[in-house]
Amino acid sequence: MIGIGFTLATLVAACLCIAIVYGLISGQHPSKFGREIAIGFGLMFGGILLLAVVVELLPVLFRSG
Amino acid sequence: MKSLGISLSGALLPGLGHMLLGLRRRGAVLFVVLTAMFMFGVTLHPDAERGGGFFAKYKKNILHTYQDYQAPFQQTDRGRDLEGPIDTVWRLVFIYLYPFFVGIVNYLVGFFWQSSQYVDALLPYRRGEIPVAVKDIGDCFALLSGLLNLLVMLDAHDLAVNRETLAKMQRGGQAA
Repeated sequence: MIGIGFTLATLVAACLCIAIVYGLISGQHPSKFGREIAIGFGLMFGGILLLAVVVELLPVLFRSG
Repeated sequence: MKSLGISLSGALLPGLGHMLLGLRRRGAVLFVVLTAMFMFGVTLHPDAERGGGFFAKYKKNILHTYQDYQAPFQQTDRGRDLEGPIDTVWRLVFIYLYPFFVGIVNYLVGFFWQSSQYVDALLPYRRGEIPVAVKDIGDCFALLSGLLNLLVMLDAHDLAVNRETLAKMQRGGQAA
């Protein structure tokens, strides 16, 4: 059994790595790398969390009886 | 043709294409990030025997000997009976092209790293007792590293073709 901390840490690490690579190959000015990486990370991490919440909520919302 | 070579140099080491184009810092960061992802993934999915773990996930890999080279084409177990042509293509791509996606040098280093004693010191689990969820997280990291390196190679090709954009980037100006 692995803890939620480890799972979240790996999720953050994966999102950060993808955001850094995306930021570097997006062709932005070097001064905008930080902003690009932050936006990429926020969209990815936020999107995954939102998806997880929705997936958990759907059965509750559409529970019959 | 030169642009193709620069692009394919990423199949040796991630970020090498960018370094060859003169974008050294960018190439170095890409190398560090993609290598760290791959090594982290491989570390989370080791196995007791050399060549096991992540590298044995699909039973055979590019490092296996001559006798095994035809194995992916043969029906060796019951699962293969259910396999369609697209599954076969994907399996062959994974076995023979994935090492180049991730960078063949990284692949070889990871292959020997995952059977080393340092992995035992790093992981809180014994080999063979690692939870499936941890192994799957490791696989995701390693596979993701290969896919991202594909994007990096495409970007290196794009920069090599568009010399004007490259010149702007080398001067530190805005490219896009």
